[in-house]
Parts: sequence; structure tokens; C-alpha cells
Amino acid sequence: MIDYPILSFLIWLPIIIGLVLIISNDITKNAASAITLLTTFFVFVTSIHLFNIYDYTASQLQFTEKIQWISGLNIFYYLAVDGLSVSLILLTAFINFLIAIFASSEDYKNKSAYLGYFLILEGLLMGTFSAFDSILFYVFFESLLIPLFLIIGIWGGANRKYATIKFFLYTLFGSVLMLISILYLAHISGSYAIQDFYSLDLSFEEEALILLAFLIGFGIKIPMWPVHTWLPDAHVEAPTSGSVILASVLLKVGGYGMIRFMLPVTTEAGIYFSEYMIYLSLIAIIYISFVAYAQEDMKKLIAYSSVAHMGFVTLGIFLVFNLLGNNTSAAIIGLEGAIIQMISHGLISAALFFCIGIIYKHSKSRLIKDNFGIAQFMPIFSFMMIFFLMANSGLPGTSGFVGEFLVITSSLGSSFIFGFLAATSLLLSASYSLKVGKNVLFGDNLHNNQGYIECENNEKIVLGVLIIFILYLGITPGLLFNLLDKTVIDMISFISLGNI
Amino acid sequence: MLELLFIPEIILSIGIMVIILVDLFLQKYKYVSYYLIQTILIISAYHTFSDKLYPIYSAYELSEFTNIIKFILLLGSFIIFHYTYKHLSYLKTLRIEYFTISLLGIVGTMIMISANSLLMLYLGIELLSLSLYALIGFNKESSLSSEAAIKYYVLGAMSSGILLFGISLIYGFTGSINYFDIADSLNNININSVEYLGIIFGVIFITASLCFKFGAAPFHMWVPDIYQGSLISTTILLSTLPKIAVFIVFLKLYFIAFMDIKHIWSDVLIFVGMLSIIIGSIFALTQENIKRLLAYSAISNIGFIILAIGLVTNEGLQASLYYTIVYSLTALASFGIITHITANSHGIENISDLAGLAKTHPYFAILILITMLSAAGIPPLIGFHAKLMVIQALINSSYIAIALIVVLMTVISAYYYLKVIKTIYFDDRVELIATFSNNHLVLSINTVSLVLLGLFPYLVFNLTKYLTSLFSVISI
Repeated sequence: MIDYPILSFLIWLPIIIGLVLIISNDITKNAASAITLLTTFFVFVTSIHLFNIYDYTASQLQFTEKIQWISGLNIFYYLAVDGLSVSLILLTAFINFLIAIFASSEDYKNKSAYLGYFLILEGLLMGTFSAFDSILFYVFFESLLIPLFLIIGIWGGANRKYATIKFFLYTLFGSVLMLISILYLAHISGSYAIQDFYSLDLSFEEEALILLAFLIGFGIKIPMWPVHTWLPDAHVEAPTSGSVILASVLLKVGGYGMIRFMLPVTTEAGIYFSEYMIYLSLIAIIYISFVAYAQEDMKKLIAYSSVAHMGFVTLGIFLVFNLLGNNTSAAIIGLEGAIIQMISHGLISAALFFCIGIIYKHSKSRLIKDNFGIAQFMPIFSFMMIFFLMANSGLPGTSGFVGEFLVITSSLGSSFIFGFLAATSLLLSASYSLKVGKNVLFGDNLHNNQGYIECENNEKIVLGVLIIFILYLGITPGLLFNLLDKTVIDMISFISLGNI
Repeated sequence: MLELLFIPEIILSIGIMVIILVDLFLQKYKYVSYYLIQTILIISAYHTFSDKLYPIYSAYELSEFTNIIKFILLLGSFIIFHYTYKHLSYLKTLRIEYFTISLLGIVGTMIMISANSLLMLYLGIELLSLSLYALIGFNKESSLSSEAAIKYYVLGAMSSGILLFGISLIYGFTGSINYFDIADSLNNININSVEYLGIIFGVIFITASLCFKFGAAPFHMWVPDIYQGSLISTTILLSTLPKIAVFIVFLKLYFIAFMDIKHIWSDVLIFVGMLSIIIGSIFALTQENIKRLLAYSAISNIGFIILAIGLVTNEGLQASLYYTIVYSLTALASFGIITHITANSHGIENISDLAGLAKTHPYFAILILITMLSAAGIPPLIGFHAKLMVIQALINSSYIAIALIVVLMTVISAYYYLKVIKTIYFDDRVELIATFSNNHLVLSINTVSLVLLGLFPYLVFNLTKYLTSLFSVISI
């Protein structure tokens, strides 16, 4: 164990540097990029260090920091990590580092503020994933809205005002319902620590209402099927890096919240309603895949594909409820699949949004019909993009396969129909991914070079690193299993002990 | 008795007369009078730390509790005068009478805070109201200002009449005007008697009148018009100092005098609070004028305070104190920023006047961003903790449904705060915006405190906890 506050460091270093960047107006673009690059690199190295010294055989929380925050109310500044947190912290640090590399060649007005908001976002995400006091979690969770609101609103596209306000109000609506549930749980348990909520003895009605509130709160964030409509709007209007961070990390906050709050707290009600929630996830996977296929705008297409892929995450989580007691090993596989799907989608969607950003930079259009035959002009880029599209459709050997495979296996443990319906996604996601590849990359374009030139070095580095990681996780997923096994098994055995 | 000369109210009253004389001879050097006023405020605030306390049970109370509240009040006045001086000097309408009238109103609020008898309370309220009538009508060139003054005068006089009627009912049926004596007679009253009925009528009349002074729904009609009609510096004053004073009056009246019939008024207050939150949140959606917008925002904030009082728990009491302090701080900051900015050489009136502020004045844009997000209750700003405490108090008293409605209203109200942010950050500039101040140290401290107190909320928390413990000693 270590005796320095590594988690606080991960949270506050980017926030403080980000604030400095926002306040200092006259700093040059290059200096701002360099500072951001250094900070995110430093945070990334620190999070790798955290990963190295994290003891994945121990079942208790690690690197705990607990200081009284509001003494009279029993609210603590309580940070800690388990395997789930570590994996998401790594993802956050990695993606932000890539964003810093990618943004270094981009040109924005008032760039130092732009990068500053990203650094603040990174710090807040770290806090969200490591807070173990419910109010502290809520504070980080809710603060996330502010920098993203400004990033999309200031640097976004033409329809940004509508998109930002929709996004803000949607997520705020969900999170206040979650706040009510948290406050109710705190009222009953007399403590705000998340783990004290786990052992509460709630009546079925209470659990059902709390489950509903959590489902709406985190379901909007993930987003789940009926409440997903803010996401395509926000994605289309966001600048490239904004889309990347939104798809690859911010959506995971919803999944993280479901695993952290919903699974252990509302198990009984969850078991009762699990079938309906699985239907919701299946609708997301199948129906949204069709919606994605019909999109003209590449960014919208990938946004809908994100919703469909996050359907696998929610499916994996809700399967735990369904399988608990009957088939515990399948439940474990389902939850691990959900977490690995989160990480893998974080990498793949980030890569795809980077690719679309690069295409948009050259042709000033994101529509599929305006972009064709890029492969002739940007061969290396096209190779990388087709790889990401394959990974998006769950090609074996890429990380996209591992998560979906695990979730499908687990759903077969529950019922054949669930497994069958979930597996259709492999076909559907391949069809819309390849549609993009066929038209945009390999379309016929002999005369019309819209200014496509091979992407710059920093962009190649970003995409290349992503390829390496996607392949690495796809070929040797054991790395993640090691990290997650103990946490997942402990959680499953804990909730099945309390409820069966 | 000589030591009573040094209580804050007396210092202020003597100061007012000195200032009137000084101003008479130094018409050309208004800044001398201004600095004298601020000095008097500081001296007066210093004397709130005095340990010479006056007996609690008599008509006029000087306790540690009232002293702390008065200190907060005087600190707020200091900041308001600072903003006002800058604003009026820029508009070239600086007159020292404005400050002396305001000071009279401040003496009125202090009397309201210290009052332990209904008559003393009435005196304080009238002193405050009279000076507010004059302040609202101060902008003689504007017809809106005169209209607002007359409207407030007529409605204010009527509400004072209702208050007096309630007081006379209470006096008639309990035989006393002292809070503690009223509490005693309520303690021994027969529930089926005529006296009981009369007292309930009296309490309802007093509640209606105080809700009017507070600006709570359904007695809120005057608030948007008066906020819009008066000078922005008057609006700051209106939205902070009287609210603090009326809040303390609420606490003392209900928790000391009428504690034994709490089943009557607690439901009334919860209803009024809910209604204020709903009306304040929904009616603000369509406002284009920033003063009207902030007026409706004030109504909904007042709703939170009244709701917390209506719970009649220690926790609710503390939450309402917390909310009042936070609300005053936020209102000071949000109106304060507007006094510092001008569009095309007149003050800011509509939200659209602020368009593109982030491009011309990024620093002010960040300040408005902070205040608006704090008002919307977004963490990590202090406004979040205030709302959190009220909602937690509601849930702990098992008012889950009300808590649900309240948080949904905060989502609705977030929309219009976001609209302001949207105008500042995302819209393009339509009018030339200028700030008329190079020195915005006070404003910066005021606004940054919203962030710092949000990160370290226990500072305000411990203060309110201490105040609550002091108050419960009095109220037992």
C-alpha cells in the first residue's frame, strides 16, 4: 500500500491546470497544447502506476482516502478504487491523452480554454469513478455537465444551442431522480457511504421505486432505448474531441453507476423486473441498429451504433438479476462481459469519432453521400478506419468481440431467445459498419478529390495506438479479467448472499 | 443605560443624521459622504461583536443570535452600497439621499430582527417599507419606476393593514403582544374555545401579510413589476436585506410565539413554499427581462426557505438558515454583476443585451456562469448544497412526494438559468457592451466565494449549526 493520495492527485491535477488554462487568455495555442499534452501524459503515467500497484487479489477497496467533508451531515471526501474503477480510470486517462495528441494539430478559437475544459472534464471523471461517498459521487457526476455543456455550446456546430440545452436538461432530469433516491437511502441508513447502502433492508415497494429512479438516471446517461434521443443531437453538434470523450468515457458513467448502485442496492426489485429491463436492452440492440443503418450522417450513425453497443452493457448488467441464483457463473460472465464491452466500446467509438473528425476536416461534410473513395487519397487512414469499423461490428481478434461474445454467452444461460436476439446484433452492426466502409472508403471517385490528403503524424499516432490496444485486448483479454475477476465475483456473491 | 448608545441600530441612526448634515455642506465631494457611510457601517458591524446583551424576554432582544444575523445584514449592506455607488456614479445620478434612505431601511430590518413583540415588529416593518417606497420611486425619469413605487405603496399599505388586523386579533384573544407571553397563553388554551378560533384567524392574517413582504406565492404579484421598475441597485437591496429580516421574523414568530399551534401553520407554510417554487420556476421560463427573471427566481428561492421552515424540525430550521445565507450571497453576486455592465451606455435590461459577453468580457462571463450555475443548484457550487439540505430535510420528514416535485422544478428552473448562459456564451454580439468599472475586487470575492464555499461547505454549515443551537436556546 502507498501513503500518498494518488487518487486526489489524479483528480485535482487536471482540474487545477485546466482552470489555469481557462483563466489565462493570452497564452499561445502551442503552449496550451504542450501544457495539456504534458498534463494528460503525466496523469496517464500515474494511472498506469495505479494499475501496477493495484493488488487484484485483494477484495477490499484500495488507496482509500477518507476525510470528513461536511462534518454535521456525515458526508465524507471518500475516495477508493476497486477493479471496475481502475479499469475505467485507465480508460479515461488514456482517451484524454489521445485527445490531447489529436487536438494539438487542430485549430480552435480560444484554444487554451477549449483544452482547459477537457482537463477539468478528465479530473471530474476520475472523481466520478473513484468516489465512494454518494454525495461526493453525485457532485462529480453532476459537475461533468458543466464543461461538456460549454465545449459543445461554444465550439460546436450550427444547431448547438438546441443540442446543448437538450443534453443538459435530459441528464439533469435523470440525475435529480437519482439524487432523491440517494438521499432516501441515506435517510434510512444514516450514512452517505455507498457501501452502507448495500446492506439496507428495504421493502419491495421502496426498492422498486429506487430501481426506477436509478434506471431513469443512469439509463439517460448510458443511454438506454427510450431516453437516448439527446445523444445523436449532442454528438452531431460536438467538436471531434467532444464526441470522443462523450462516447468513450461519459457514457460509461451510466454503466458504472448501474453496477455500483443498482446491482447491489435494488437486487430484489431488479430480479423481479429483470425480464422487462432485458427487453429494453434488446430493443436498444436490435431496433437502434436498424436506425443506425438508416442514417445519412456518419456521426449520427456512430452515435446510434453507440446506443446499440451500450445495449450490450445494460443487457449484461440486467442478466445478472435474471441469472442470480439459477446460474451464478453465467451471471459472472455477463457482468464481466458488460464491463469489458464498456472498455472496448470506449476505445472503438473514440477511434471512429477521430476518423470522422479527420474526414470532416478535409471535406467539410459528414454525410455519407458527400464522401466517397477516400481510400485512393488516404490509404493508410483508410486501412485504419476499416479496421475500426470491423472492430465495431465485433470481429474476432478485436476487443469488440470479447465483450459481445461474453454477454451473448451469458444470455444463452438465461434463455435461448435472449441469446439469439442479442446475437443478431453481430449481423446488424456489421451491415451498418460495412455500409460506411463501402461508400466512404471504397466508393468510386476518380475525378473528385475534395482535398483529401493523408492524415498528419499525430493523427496517425492516435489511431495506431488505438489499433494496438484494440488488438491487444482482443487477443489477450486476460489482462482485464485479472483486474476484474475479484471485484465481479465478490459483488455477485455479495448480492446473491443477501437475496437468495 | 449609556452602553445602549453603542448598539448597532443607534450608531446607524446617529450616523444617518451626521451624513445628512455632512452632505449638506459637501455637495461637491460626494465621495466623502460615501466613505463616511461605509465607515459607519463598519463601526456598526464591529459593535455586533459586543457582549453587552439585552434581556431576551423583553420587547427588544439583543442576543448573540440577533448580533450574528445583524452582522451578516451589515456586511450585505456594505457590499450593496459598494455596487450602488459605482452604478449611480456611472449613470450620473448619484445622490447621497439614496444611501441615507437605504440606511433607514436597514435600521428597520434590524428592528424587525430584534423585535420580540408584535408592536416592535410592526414599527420595524413600517420603517423598512417607507424607505423602500422612496427607493423604488427614486428613478424619477422613468415612468416604470413611479408606477412600481405607487404599486408597492398601495399593496404594501394594504398588507400592513392586514398585519395590524392580525396583531389586534392576537392581542385581543391572548391579551399580550410579547412573543413569549403569547406562547404562554397558547400553551394553556382550550382548543374548542372562541379564543382559539380568533387566534387562528390572527395567525393566518399575519402569515398572509408576512408572505407578502417575503414575496412568496400567492402574494407574489408585485415582485416582478417592482424589481423591473426600480433601479438595479434598489433591486439588489430589495432582494436581499428585507428577505433576511422577514425570514428571521418568520422564525421568531412561528418557533417562539405560535409554536403550540404548529399543526395550523406548518401545512400552510409547506403549501406556500411549494406554490412559490412552482410559480417561480414555471413563470420565469418566458421572461425576457433579466430583472423579471431574477424576480421569479427569487420567488422560487423564497419558496425553498418557507418550505424548510414549514417542516418544523431542527434540520429544517438549519436548512432554511443555510438557504437564506446562500440565497443572499447568490443574489448579491448575480445582481452585482449586472450593476457592473452596461449595454450601449444604459444599464442591462433584457437577457439579449448580454449576448456575446463571453467574447468581449470573458472574465464577467465566467462570473455570470458561476452565479447562474449556483442558482440552478449544480454542484460543486454552494447553491447545490443549499438545495441538498432542504431536500434532505424534506425526505427525513417523509415528504417524499414534495421532494420529488421540488427537484423536478429545479430541472425546469435550470432551463432559464441555462438560457442566460447560452446567451452569454453561444450567441453572437448584437449590442456594444461595456463595463464601467476597472476595480471589481468585491464582485470577484463575492462570486468566487460561491465556488469556494461550495468546495468547503462546512464553513457555512458550521455557522448555521451554531445559529440553530443559539436559536433553539431562545425558542425553548
